[in-house]
Amino acid sequence: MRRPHPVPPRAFEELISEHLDSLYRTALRLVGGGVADAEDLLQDAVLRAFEHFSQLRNQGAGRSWLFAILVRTNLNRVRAASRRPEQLTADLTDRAFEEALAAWTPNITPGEFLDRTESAERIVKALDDLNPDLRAAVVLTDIEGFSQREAAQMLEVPEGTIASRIFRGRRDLRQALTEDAPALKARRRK
Amino acid sequence: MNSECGRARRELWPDNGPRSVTPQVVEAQRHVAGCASCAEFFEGMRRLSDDVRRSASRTVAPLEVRDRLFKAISRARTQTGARVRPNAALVGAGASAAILLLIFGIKAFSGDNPSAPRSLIPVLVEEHARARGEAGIRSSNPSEIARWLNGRLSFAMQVPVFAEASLRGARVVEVEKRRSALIEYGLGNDLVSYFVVAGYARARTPSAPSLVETVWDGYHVVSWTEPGLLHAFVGNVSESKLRLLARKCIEQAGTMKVAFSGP
Repeated sequence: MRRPHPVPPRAFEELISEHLDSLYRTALRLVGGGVADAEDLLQDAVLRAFEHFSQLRNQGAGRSWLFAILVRTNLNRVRAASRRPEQLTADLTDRAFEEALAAWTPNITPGEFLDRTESAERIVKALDDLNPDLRAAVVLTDIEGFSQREAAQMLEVPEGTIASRIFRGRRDLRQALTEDAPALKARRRK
Repeated sequence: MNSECGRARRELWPDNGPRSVTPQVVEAQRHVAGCASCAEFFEGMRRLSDDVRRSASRTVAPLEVRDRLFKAISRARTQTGARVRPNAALVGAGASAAILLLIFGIKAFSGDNPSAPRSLIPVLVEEHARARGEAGIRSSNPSEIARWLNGRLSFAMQVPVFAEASLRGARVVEVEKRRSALIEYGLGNDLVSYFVVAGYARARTPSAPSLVETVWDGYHVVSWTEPGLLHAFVGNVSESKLRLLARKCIEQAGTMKVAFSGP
């Protein structure tokens, strides 16, 4: 019988320590910015990972493994809550995605009219206000740098769906951030 | 801007990663090369993605979150024990621990040779396992570490130096409500923690400290006492290496005065 892969006693703690900041950051965004909820989610996910750590064969894949557990733990929580008020109406078909892409008009980006600090705060706030499904796609790819394929696996949706969610997430972000751009510009000129 | 733009943008969607050069991709690339609107679209996507990444990637986990999380892991480790890592080496380690406890237990926990109480070993191991990335002082300078510790402890101490192990830093830890010193050493690729805990073994102590070896949760622990203080080395290294460090530490005690000044 094949023996399970031996795991050094501190390997799990080291793995968590290495990725703790990004796991916490992602938990915070997944729950929409609530610090207590984020810590709760993080702890739940990390303890689940601890239980299954001996199943992680490739230590090099530890980061995406941890994130997959975090994301799925969050999905389970959201599904368990079941009466989530903000359901994504529907993912786009290829045709609808193409139409949305074609309708994108060049516009200023947040970085062009907000100063660094203001920009960071407002982007994080706008991110937290996004639809949770769109937010998860943007967080995993734009912030944590996972590929679209990895994000699709974590969120258990097709790659094409992730593509349209990323696009819609960015589009909604830009809309939220540029709605009051003229007022912000005027304020900065004063 | 038309349906061709939408098709080209979907075909060349920037987050898709490497793609095969299909006729559709070639056609989309040809379209984008001649379409200012599509070029702006891709540039806009890139800038927006950069803005989001720059803004939201600054958050770090607060220390108290880190602390609570590692304590939860330690509790889970204690509760699940070998079930979490059911491999032969650790089963062997567990058996060794049981044998060692049988051999050394009576000696270790009797009044003749007061040492770490049974409850203390898991605490030391837990603190050792949490060592990485914790707040404290990161330094390889023994004087600097000693100064840092002496400003935070109720007993004075100097920091032992070993040729075999490199000094990494130190922190102050609570061990059963006693502020204690934890000094970290690198031993090859492993981390070894040296604890000095006040308030133990103030009873009769042998003139020559005797070392007590224990294994807990896969970690080796070598401890000894002197009036008022408990010393322990903890690490995932062989007990012979820990014993060597412990002996050198005791040897250095002649010049390294550890004066106890109260519980």
